Amino acid sequence: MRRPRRKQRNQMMPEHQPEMATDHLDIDAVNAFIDRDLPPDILALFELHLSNCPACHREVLEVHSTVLLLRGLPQYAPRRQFTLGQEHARAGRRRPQAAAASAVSSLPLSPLPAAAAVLPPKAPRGSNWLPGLQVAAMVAGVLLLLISVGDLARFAGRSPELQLAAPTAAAGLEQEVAEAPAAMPAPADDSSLAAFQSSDETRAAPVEIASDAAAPARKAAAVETDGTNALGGASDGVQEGDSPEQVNAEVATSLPGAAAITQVIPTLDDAANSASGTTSTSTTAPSSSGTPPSRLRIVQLGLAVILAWLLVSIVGLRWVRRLR
Amino acid sequence: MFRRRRAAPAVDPPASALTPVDADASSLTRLEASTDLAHVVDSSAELAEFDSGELPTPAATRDDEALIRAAQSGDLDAFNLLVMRHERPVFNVALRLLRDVGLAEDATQDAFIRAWQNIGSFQSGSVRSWLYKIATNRSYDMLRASSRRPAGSLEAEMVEIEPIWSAGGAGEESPDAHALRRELSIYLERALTSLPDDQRMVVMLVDVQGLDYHEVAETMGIALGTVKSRLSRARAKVRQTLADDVAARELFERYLRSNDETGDRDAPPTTQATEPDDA
Repeated sequence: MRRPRRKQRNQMMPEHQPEMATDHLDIDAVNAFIDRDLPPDILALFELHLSNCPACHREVLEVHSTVLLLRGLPQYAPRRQFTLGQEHARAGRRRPQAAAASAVSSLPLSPLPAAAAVLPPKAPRGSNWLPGLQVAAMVAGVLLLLISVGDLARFAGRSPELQLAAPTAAAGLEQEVAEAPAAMPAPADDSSLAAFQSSDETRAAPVEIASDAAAPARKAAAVETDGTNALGGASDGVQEGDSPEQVNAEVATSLPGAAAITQVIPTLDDAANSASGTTSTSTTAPSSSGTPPSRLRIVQLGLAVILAWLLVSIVGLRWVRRLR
Repeated sequence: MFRRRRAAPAVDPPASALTPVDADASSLTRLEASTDLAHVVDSSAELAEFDSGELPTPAATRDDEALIRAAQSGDLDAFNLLVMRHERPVFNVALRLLRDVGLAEDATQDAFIRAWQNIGSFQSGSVRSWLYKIATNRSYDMLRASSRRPAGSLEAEMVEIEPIWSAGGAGEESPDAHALRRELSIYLERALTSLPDDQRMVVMLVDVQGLDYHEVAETMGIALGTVKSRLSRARAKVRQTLADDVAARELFERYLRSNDETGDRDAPPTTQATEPDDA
């Protein structure tokens, strides 16, 4: 399959006929001829040459056969389709925003509204429980807070030794409650929870020093011991800051409902007082003697357990939802 | 697996002589299931009527244009019609570049996803070129990423999937020529593999996939003259590779003879080329 002698490229267009007749065709011209890419006038010359030159005829035949073979190569059927699913309908149009939002939400300290905005419009299975759980957690938290604070405020008003214990124990509990909503991303539309949270913070402010010392109470069992621990730090912290009377007054005035709730539970302010006393005696206060835990304390414990369980559920649901 | 066309709608692009497989058959049957696309098809039908007689644009191009405009306004179904129409040739380009079925499928899928994400970047021209460009870029990315040259032979990969043979290049083909063509395909695939990247790409797009020069220039971002010269050299090299192999040369000679015998009508050029040249 020898290649015929070839004219210099771009001179396949013979100016004079004699040269065309004697010389062979350029490879580009052959390809142009096969692809029908030759202008008519040149085509005429080309064909004239072909009819007189077996070598060029042979070359055209070979190149043309090669082209036919290439065109005849099989196509392969892919094993699947490549159409895009409906998830691309949304993603394709709003991709930049979505990408930015998901980048934000992947940060550990993402702002709550951004995290809420990323949630897919169609909630995954199970997450329809989320609002209910949040409301339940809020209610449990408020109850627990009111009971504890009201309880402590009442007896703090009576027994001077325990004046310090009241705000600090409350601070321990408040911290737990205030911290819990922070741990779980609060929905943007849940204004009541936000309000609750912010009012909590203002209340807790006077005893911030004390609450720093208190380990966050995550387990129900830890509530009492935390309160006790907080007490130790609190006796210093609060004394440095506000006067005990001031703190007491603030707690008492800011929580009008707390007293009412403790009344609702028809016990035993005395027993409650003594129980609180028991927990605090270990560090500061001279004790009233070891009395059994009151019903109020049990209610508090129960509420704390429920609250912890709700919080764990909410955080778990959020986490699962974010994974999708 | 390959459904035949049931009825040819008015906008159905005529099957090109160069594309042996009826690529639109499956997409058209699937189209009937989609109700949202009625307006697209209608509008493209109007478009086809409007344009008829003005420019020798292939009907497929007009259809593609209508579909991509719809896709640009957010119609994913219209885009999926484009995908169905072009997925097979795009896959084949990726396959011949990557020489790996799995990689080629990934490249094809990625290419269509990117095309959809960047649908706004399509301005004008050939949709096919635009899709091929995305797919070939993606294929080259994957080649680089896997730092693997396409050294493997296609036939090793091809046992996995089914080849679809065309009826014949330019019309009638003797059974003998057809058999020879199938035998020679192995050597041709090898010859393609041995070509430099730029030449392989041109010859693959023009001869194997049936794009015209302009579309190839658009796809590869090169000048028209470059396309032609690369194509000439690539074809010459393929022919030379066939000649260098004893078995291939013998088959090729027989194929030449069969082409010569079955008619000057079928093969060469002389009679065909006497037609007025559109280009």
